[in-house]
Amino acid sequence: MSDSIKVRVERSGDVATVRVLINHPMLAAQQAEATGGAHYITDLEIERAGASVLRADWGPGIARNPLVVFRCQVATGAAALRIRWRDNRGGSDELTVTL
Amino acid sequence: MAIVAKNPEPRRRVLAALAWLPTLVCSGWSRLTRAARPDAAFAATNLDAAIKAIYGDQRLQADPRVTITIANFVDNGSIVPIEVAVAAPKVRAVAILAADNPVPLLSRYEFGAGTEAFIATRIKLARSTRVVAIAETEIGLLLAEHQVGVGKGGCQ
Repeated sequence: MSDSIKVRVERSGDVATVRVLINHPMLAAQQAEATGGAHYITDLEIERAGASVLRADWGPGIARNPLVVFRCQVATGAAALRIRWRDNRGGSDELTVTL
Repeated sequence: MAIVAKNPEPRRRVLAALAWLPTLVCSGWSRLTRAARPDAAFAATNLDAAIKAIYGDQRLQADPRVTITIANFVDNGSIVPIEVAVAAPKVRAVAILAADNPVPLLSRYEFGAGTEAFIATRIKLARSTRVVAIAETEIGLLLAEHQVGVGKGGCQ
């Protein structure tokens, strides 16, 4: 169960447009001195059946509450998309949604 | 397994089966199948150093097949929508950088098979800057850039 990840999927034929919104401060070092330094997501992995759909390396230059939109092919029938992130302080979360 | 069904040729079938091995063996973060995070590039404090840290001395060429969709001017640099699309075959990854940010490398995306060479996200811009997108493709590194004016910089 994920509290931080929200996903919206729009299917058009065999292409899905996936919008992933993550609740995270994405603090750079200069913004975060009072709270112990930088705090931002470093890795985002999106997989389907163990195969990579999208992988991202992020730095502190991604805006707070990150949004990422991508488009992928969808085979007929249901497919589960597993979305995971982790940050530079050891935090992480994941969510699995059905396309 | 759907992958096997899609590859009727026997040799391919074996390869498809082998491709599952890392997934089965490694249930954690799949470091085996991805490039390592470009830490040196994220540590770089100017554009050229960041690009060199990821791509070494590989040649970059400006190419209209890479398109950046971003505003010409934003009042607030803390949340700037950007889209990058690449109309070239076999695009493996896209990196997005801002020349005048304290950390020029903003993000890098690797596309899986069946994922379009397109990404939309929101970035921080510390001040007016050139925004650069670099696509890693079969025909080399293709680059596009766009100058963005920034009113109030997004702290980075």
